[in-house]
Amino acid sequence: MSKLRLKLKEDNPALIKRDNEVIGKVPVEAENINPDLIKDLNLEDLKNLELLVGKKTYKFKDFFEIAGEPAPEIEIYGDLSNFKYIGAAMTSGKIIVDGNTGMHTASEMKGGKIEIRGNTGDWLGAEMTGGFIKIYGDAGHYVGAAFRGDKLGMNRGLIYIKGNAGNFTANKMRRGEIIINGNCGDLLAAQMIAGSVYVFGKCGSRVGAGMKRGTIILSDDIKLLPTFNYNISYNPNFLNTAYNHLEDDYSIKIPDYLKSGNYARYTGDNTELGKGEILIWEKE
Amino acid sequence: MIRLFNGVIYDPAQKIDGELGEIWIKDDKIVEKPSAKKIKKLKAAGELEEIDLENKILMAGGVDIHSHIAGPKVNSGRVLRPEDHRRDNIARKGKLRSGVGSTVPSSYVTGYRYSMMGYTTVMEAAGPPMKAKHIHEEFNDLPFIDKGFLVLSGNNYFVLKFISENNMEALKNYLGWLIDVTGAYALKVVNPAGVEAWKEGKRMRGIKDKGTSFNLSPSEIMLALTEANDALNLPHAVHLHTNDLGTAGNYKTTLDTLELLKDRRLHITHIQFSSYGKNENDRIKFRTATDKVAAAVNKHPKLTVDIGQLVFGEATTMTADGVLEYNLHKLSGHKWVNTDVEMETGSGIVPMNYKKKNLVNGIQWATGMELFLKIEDPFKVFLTTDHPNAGPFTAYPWIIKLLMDKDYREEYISGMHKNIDNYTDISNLKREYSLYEIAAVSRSGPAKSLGLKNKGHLAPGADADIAVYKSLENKDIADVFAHPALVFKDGILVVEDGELKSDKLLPGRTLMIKPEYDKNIQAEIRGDFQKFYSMSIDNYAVTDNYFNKVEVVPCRSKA
Repeated sequence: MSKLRLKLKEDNPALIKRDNEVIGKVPVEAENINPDLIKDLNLEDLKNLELLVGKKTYKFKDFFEIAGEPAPEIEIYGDLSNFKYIGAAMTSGKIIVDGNTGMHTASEMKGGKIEIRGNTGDWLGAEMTGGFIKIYGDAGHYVGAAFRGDKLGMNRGLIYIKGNAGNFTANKMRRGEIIINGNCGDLLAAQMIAGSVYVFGKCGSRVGAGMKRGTIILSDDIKLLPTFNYNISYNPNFLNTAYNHLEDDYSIKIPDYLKSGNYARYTGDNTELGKGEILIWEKE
Repeated sequence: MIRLFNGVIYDPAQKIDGELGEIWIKDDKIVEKPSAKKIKKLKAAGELEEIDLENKILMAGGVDIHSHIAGPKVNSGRVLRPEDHRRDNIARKGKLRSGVGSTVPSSYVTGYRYSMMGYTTVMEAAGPPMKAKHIHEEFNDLPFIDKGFLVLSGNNYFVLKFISENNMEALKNYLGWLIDVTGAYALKVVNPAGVEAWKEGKRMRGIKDKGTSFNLSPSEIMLALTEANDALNLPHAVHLHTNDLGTAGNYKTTLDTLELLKDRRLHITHIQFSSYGKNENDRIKFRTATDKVAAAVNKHPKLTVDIGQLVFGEATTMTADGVLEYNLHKLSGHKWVNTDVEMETGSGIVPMNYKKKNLVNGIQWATGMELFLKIEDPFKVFLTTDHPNAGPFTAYPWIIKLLMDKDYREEYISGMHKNIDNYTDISNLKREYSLYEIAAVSRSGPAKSLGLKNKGHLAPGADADIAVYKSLENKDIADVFAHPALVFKDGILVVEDGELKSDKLLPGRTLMIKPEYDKNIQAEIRGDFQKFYSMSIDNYAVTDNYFNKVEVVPCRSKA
């Protein structure tokens, strides 16, 4: 199958230079890096696609060395940590970034797949409604969260982060799954409405603050808020089904120790509806 | 000079109903046709611009009598709702500044969107006096439209104090002073006594009971304020937001109010929210009670009303009626703001989403429509959505379409909740508005009610605020009213083909009045003011440097 390969130029208009030394980068608004848009273009139109750099408008050809042909599958090489909105609102196709990306990566994504072989910024997959996001490195704050003022965060879809995630992960999440292999910041799944979050590393404080429904599965012990009730210590059957689904459908490696043993079940947050659950794996 | 000819003129103020005619504009005024000799001279000098309107609809610029467009409450609404703006961004273009839109647009975008519908005058509906400076600062950033604000006075400490002391002279002077120092245009009365009671931790129902520490009933307050309003010869009547607004069965309160003030000048605002009946035994408590309310409105000789038509979709309710917003917050569970504006009023904000399929929202929508269709005199009923409470003002073209096209209305009702006919009789109403009536409800009527002699008509001497719409033939009515062919503001072409001209950012005027009153009132209230307010009375008045472009509208001549 044909692919589009983009390589970020060493010298591009977003670099801020002083005496030939790069001292900073201007943010680039790159919502045009979207397979839905690119797949139907011819090469010439692709070269002239717009990228906003601060208040100036540049073109794809100013930033990228373009190889291959416009296709639903896009591979990008280079450090795109100042590129915002990569794959935002995409509905199909695939983006692979060999490097870092910036804020709002895959925000409001509706379908398709994004793979980042580096770190990414804040608001990863915020308000997404479908699709699969895989991050090899770390993610910033507000993974799968709701944007300011909105009622619903992530609503369907799956986010898998091999590294760590920041604060407010799964804030106001409504549906879907988030799997974090590493550690996670404060206020995990705060104000969560529904959905599932797995964290295989350590968590910050105030997990599940203000959650209504939804499930948080943790491998490491945490200090719970006083507004959660302890229910039972057991091995939930559904977890095996869930783990199998993650391994089979998304090739996500689940630590073996989690597949057996008991989980302590807590429900809350009692200041809200109180139907959320936190399952914490118990060391023998 | 500009000559607009071949236009089909609708000007209810002059009783012109669709006659082919021409309009002459000199500077910022509409003028008489000059003599043939003068025309010749102008032509020779190249100073005459002639525009052939080719049978397009020619109306005065729209006048909105009630809309929340500037001030602290609107700004809190903007802050409360970042999600409202995120998808509606307007980029800078030429001299036009950028902004954000949706239910609570930024000040510039408010100006753009009003003028892009052919509206040229808008009244900010509720301003707390001590925040008047903020309102005027925003007014200066509201281009293209003339505007004024109605000052909240129904629950003001001094107002209640003077009424409870039965000191009508002091009340009159205080209100005159209040309007003068805040640069206001008229008096707004919101849930008189009800807000004060709420601030004291009590609830009031109806207009007869006494409940506040001032021992005053809403009736006494309304009687006193309407009397003072007439004593001050204010151009606009008391602008009343009734008690018990938004609750099932509140039509009785509205009827009581109309009966109480039956021989007074009065404007009841967003009357849609005040015309609900009640089903005692039904699961849905709401129903419309428009028959009785419309009959009372038709009967009242000095009354005008605006509707506050509900629009399905996102809205942001904001009002000085703090208790109402508390109820809405409890009902919807949405985020909210509630404010106690010291000695003057309360306030609250709750975002809402009105749904077409929701039965209660449908009944509210039908209530507004029924009132439009049942109130006979188009000079008595005005088009508003109480922006942004019942919906954004950008829905006006759609409401005009609903009023003018019975078939569209019936089709629209068929898509609503299946039981809507059990609670409303909108389906039985066959009336259609004519263009003449539309011009009355959106221009001439509001201008007349506000006492704006230079607005809302096209006779010589009027301000050259003119909207030209394409002919309705084979076109969608909503589309025609949303995209005027030409809009003139102060004789300057600002909109062409539904698009703002980007070469100038035309500032609008601030409309205010300067009533006569005894200036000693300031010394009289100084003691209480310095004791209870968080600011000094010496810093209270809006100073001249806040005003950019002011027009003082004359008060009514003494009868």
